[in-house]
Amino acid sequence: MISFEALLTHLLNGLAYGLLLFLLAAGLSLIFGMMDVINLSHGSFFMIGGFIGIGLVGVLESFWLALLATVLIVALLGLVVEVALLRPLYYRSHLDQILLTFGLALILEDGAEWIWGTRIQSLRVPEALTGSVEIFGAVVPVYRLAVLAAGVLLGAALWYVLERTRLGSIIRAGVADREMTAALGFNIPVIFAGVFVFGVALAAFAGFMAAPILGVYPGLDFQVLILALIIVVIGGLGSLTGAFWVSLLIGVTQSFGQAYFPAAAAFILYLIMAAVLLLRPEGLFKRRYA
Amino acid sequence: MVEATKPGEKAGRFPVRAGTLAVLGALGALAVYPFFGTTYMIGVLTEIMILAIFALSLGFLMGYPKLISLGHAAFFGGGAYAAGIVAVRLEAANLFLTLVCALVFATLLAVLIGVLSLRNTGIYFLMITLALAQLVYVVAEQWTWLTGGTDGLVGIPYPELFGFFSFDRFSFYYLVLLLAGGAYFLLRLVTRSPFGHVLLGIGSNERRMRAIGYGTRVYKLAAFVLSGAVAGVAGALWAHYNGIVAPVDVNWPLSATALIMVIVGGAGTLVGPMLGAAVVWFLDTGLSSYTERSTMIMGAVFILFVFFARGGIAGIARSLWERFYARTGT
Amino acid sequence: MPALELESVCKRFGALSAIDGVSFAVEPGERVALVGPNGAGKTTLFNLISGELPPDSGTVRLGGRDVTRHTPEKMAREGLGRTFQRNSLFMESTVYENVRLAVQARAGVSFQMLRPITAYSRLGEETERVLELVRLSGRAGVRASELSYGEQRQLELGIALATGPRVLLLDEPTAGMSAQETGEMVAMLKELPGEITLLIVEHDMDVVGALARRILVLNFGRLIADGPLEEVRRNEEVLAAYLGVGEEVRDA
Repeated sequence: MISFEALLTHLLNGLAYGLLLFLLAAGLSLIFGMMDVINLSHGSFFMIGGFIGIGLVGVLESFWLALLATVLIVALLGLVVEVALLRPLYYRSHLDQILLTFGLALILEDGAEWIWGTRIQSLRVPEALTGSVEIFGAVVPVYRLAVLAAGVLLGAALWYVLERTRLGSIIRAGVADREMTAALGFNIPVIFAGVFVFGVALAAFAGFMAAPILGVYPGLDFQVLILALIIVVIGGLGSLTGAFWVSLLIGVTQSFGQAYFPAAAAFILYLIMAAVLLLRPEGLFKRRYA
Repeated sequence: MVEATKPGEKAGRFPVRAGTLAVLGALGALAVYPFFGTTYMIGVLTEIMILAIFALSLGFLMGYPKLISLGHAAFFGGGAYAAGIVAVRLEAANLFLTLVCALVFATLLAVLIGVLSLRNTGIYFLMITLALAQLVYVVAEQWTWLTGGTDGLVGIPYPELFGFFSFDRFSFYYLVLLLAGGAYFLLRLVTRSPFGHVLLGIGSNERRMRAIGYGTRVYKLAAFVLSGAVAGVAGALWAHYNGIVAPVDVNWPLSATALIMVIVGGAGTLVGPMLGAAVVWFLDTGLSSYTERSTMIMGAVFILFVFFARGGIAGIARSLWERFYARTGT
Repeated sequence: MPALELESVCKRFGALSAIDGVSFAVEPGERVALVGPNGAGKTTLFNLISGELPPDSGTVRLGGRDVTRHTPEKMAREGLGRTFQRNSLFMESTVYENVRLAVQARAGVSFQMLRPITAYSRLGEETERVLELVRLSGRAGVRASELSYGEQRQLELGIALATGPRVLLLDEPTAGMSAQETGEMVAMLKELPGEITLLIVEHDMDVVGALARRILVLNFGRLIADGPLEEVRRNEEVLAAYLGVGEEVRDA
């Protein structure tokens, strides 16, 4: 018999996982919407965020300082990638972009294996967030709750910036009509670089926060990339609202699936995607930012 | 001179005769190779040729109607499982039986997946083919009594012909060579036919194709099924060659590899993807016996391709040919 | 029986009524111009007729048959041809291949897979005839992307003609052309077989005058005038519709 407490635990775990996936998918979705680039190296920044985080926590001996430094370092890496590799590729075919970002993902994965090895590594949760609390009888690790809070806060901030600020309206306009944004005289290269670096930083943040839960290992990059791609496509390209709800859905189904029907977890995931695309050929949510 | 081009011929396209000669030359070289080569290299070439048929099938789809599928391993692996199941579970390794079963099964699977996925376009098509193919993967992994589950289906022999001839490593090489050449020439014929020109039109401007009266979905489905069938035959050869079929043969990384083979070789041609298969095999499998960091090198080569070899290997060949042509001055 | 007939056709985009109860009929062989200020709904109306957009209500008839909500390909097979305001060509293919693809659309050989297309000589003959009509015979081997803009407009027409339409919708055939190119296009259109029914969206009133005797005026999705050119020009509502938007009617 499955108890109510167990269900609640899995639900909260699933929501935390879903929010982490949302942070990853949001960047992927923005980059696709804004620059029309399918960034297959997006999961690599998630993985790198985890690895660098583990290293920095050891050196800096502070979880929070390490988090900040990790996000900055990976964002810098993202900037280099944008300027050196991606910039010459806007307006080239999707096939070229696929080959480039896939090549980059391979280099990053193999590089990570070279530096950190193939072993699964984990990040120790800071003292303040260790232990568990009881919610309606369900035992929930404090860290999961912290991830939930961080995810909700970042999601809300993202929504606020996109919906309520001038910068946000420029980005939304860019997703809706790239040519028009350029015609209006906005500095497209700077905006593109900014969106890409921001997306990468989100991925690194999510990768760092996920490290204590999922562990970090070469291969994690493609694993989360596929999930993020699925979320972005089911949600509807360029729709952050869509990505948000679908992330939660996927996080929760994965959590329950892995707990109760481990063999069917992947099956359910792909079944959902196939069903959604069959019924709504352009994703669940019409392009909200488009 | 563009005006000098005969009507109906592609202006500025890779010269037809040069391409055909190159293919015939390569086939000839491959045909005499086993008399000089090592057993190991015969095996390597067999493997590459099978993958080349697979890449060819996807290249046909990506180059003409411009359908980018990320689920092609379903047909390759589907064909492999069909052949393997016939050979092992029914204990009938007759070449015609296994090939025909693989062909039929891959065709049916392609009809099913094609009907379900061709309403979607662009990245949505890419992702729904991925989703449907992964469902096939899950079936292959879970239906243990039939497929062998995660361990795979083992003990698939080389095929035989009605009890009087059994293929070995050497003769199987020639079988694969024959089928690779056959698949290439078949698809080449198709691309030059009225049907092939419809596919090219769909890839170029589907909206206009509909406006002049083509029900494009039927043509796309036909191309998808043809491509799936060829991939299924490649899969059957793969099963016989490896002696085992496992879930990795239906999983998405294999679909991604095929996609990369096509891009590296050059989408829009038929020879390109086949050469792409060889290059990617070398970077992926070949290099790994020399260095630990083969994956990194492979990634770097892909990036170099994007910057310095637009249009892939076929693109390089074309620009070399054009340079040569300009110098000899015709 | 009219070649093309619309009855109370409506189309809304959200709150915007793009086409609002449009009705008219065009007789076989008639040449009719459709004019109106920018944003009046002319291209939307074309898309409703050609099946690219389904109307919300109303009926479209082609040669007396109800063809409302037919797909574009079905409309084409029913004998409707159209050109696009922005060229819609097969850019990587030659002029010859562009036209041949359209000829092939009604030749019934499109599922032939195993013989080269050059073996079907009928396709070639018909293609050359159409190239002659749109004066592109000398450019047959040139890639569409390498044509001048005016030539691309000619090819745009050639593709539509090659499907052998009974009714042809032309969406601004002279858009963006020089005066000389416009003159050539008008001459070409005048030479078209008399049995082809033409409905032309056009801004240039000289072109309208040269090609059509009857004129339909669309404004805010409604048909505000339908009649001979001279009569429509004096129509007050038409003048009002054009004031401040474009000077075409009054200048003409």
